[in-house]
Amino acid sequence: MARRIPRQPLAAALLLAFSLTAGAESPPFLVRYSFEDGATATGSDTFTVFRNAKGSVQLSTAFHVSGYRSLEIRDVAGDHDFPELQGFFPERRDGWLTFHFALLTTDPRQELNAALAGPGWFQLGEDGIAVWIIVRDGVLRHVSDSIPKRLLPLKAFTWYGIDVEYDVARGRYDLRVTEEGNPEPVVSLKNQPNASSQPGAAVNVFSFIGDLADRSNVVYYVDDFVLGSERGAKPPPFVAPGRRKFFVDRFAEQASLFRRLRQPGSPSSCPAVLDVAEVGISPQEIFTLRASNRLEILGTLLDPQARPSGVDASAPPELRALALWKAGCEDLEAGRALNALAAFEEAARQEPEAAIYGLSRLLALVSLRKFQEVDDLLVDLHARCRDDPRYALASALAGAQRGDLDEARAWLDPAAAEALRKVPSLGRLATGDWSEEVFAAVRAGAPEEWKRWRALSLASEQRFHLAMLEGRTAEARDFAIQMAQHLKAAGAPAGAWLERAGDAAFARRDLDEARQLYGQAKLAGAREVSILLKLADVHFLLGDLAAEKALRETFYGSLDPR
Amino acid sequence: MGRVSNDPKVVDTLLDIMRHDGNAHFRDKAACALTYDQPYLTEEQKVLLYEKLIDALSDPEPQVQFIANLALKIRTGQHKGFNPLAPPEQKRKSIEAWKKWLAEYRANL
Repeated sequence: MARRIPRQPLAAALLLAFSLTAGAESPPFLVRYSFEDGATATGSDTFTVFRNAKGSVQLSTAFHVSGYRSLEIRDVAGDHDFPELQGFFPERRDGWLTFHFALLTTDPRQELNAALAGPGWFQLGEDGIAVWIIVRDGVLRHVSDSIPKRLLPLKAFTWYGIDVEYDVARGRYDLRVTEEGNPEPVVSLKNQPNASSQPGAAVNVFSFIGDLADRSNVVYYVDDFVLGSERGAKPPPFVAPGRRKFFVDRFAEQASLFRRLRQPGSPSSCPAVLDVAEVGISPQEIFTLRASNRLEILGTLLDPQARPSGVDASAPPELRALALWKAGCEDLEAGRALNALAAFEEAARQEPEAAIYGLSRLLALVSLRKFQEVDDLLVDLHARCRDDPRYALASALAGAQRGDLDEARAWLDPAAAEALRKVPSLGRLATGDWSEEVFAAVRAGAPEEWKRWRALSLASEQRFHLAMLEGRTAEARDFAIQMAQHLKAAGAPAGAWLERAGDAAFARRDLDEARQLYGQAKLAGAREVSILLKLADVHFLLGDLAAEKALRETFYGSLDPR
Repeated sequence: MGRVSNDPKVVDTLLDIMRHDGNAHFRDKAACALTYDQPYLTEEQKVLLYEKLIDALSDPEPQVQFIANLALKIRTGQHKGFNPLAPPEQKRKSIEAWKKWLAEYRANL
């Protein structure tokens, strides 16, 4: 309940905290798991399993309510961690949320916790925990009005059904508990204040754990977990187990934006914020902002539809930087790119770790056609943003405006092969390692030529990004393969270009080729996590579900018995 | 200090500093420690802590009221309408609400 995972779903969850997707229609059916075959896929849009230290989260046939399996969560006291099943669902700030699960514990004296929370995470307060169920010292409790209230003593090895009907806007719920073998509810409460008595608190994440204090040796079982806004609705579709969107589809979204930005007279615009960390705000700072009643200001500054608004001088620096950025975004859209650039630069100076300010600077510089500075910034941002479709968009826009990307083909000349052999660090540059260490080595090895090689590296990426975003995926694939072949022939690492070739093949839905290219990329030293998840998508579309599952679970964890 | 021990003496010492130290900075730091560094108090210990924080809402020193209010807000997610700058009658009502809340908390131990 206290853990954060550095991945996209979390980013999306935090994003939703500030109504950046306000108005998006939520499906009536949010989450449903009976833990039977086909309903246990971990992934970015379902849930993540944490089995750190000695605890475990796994499917079990030992006990079940429906079907033949349930989920077993086992915690071990004193192991400095806790197991967790954690998952996200579309954020709700109003309407009804229904929450049901069946619970069996082997020892009610051992603590366990189940909770629904919002973007404020698993703590009491605004947008924090909404519904919190605890078993401790033999008693089932719910935290309401910040008080852990007794519900009933629990029996070991007995199934209990927990039903919550939560009026999100009012922050109140009805709670019903049924006991195995008893047709009447053993608890039936109406109109209970939520965990910290906060009307309108958002909810978007659920969690089942042992305890945080590391004192619990609980072994418990969960079955028939259902979270919805309407009864009887059908679950929303997944494009693959655990995922509602393939990674290439994120590029497709940027392609649409790219086409719009390329229209004559079309104004530039700031990149979308996908995670508050991108504006330099940590979860702890969100907590502090909430305590100082500044969360609403943050929400306004992050809302792309809201007008810029100033913040007072006593506001924390990350909020002041964000206000500057917001004003810069308005300037950028109004065609005042110089003003925008000044605002982004100041915001970046104040919050150098905030990636969005760098990406915004990049777009302003592209608008101003300051190509030397664009190149410098593309290099600076590369390590952090190279896989980010928003970076690819800016890179492609720069390439399109510059119009001299044919020079990228110089990598394919015999002279380049000779240089690659003489200066090995050039190979790392060509494959996308733009670290200062590599530039220093290239400068030392090719003092007369290093600027040209740097420019060629930038041009080669821009050429690839431009082809991808313009839908010329065959050309993108061919170019990437040629780059990989030439690098390999010169003894340089070719994995990154093979991965790009795989991306282009995947975008074309040429799945066999994508699988082969990703496989080659992995052998050639491409980053393994990235390749594994892409290969999982490919295997899913190819119908090889066993391979897909094995690949996906190396990253998201598994519910299968070990 | 607090994180390594949930000894009542630690909590009492911090509460004493929070209310009576002559230096406002130290009072503030003690309130911070009570708020953030005591995550694993037992429920009985929490009741004692809340009782003393609620008591501190009536402290003659406004800064003590402020930090006690903040500590309660961060620990429980609520402030029960308490505002250190509000008129005495309003503050009294908030403190009454906190006391009622505490009684319910205690009843659920």
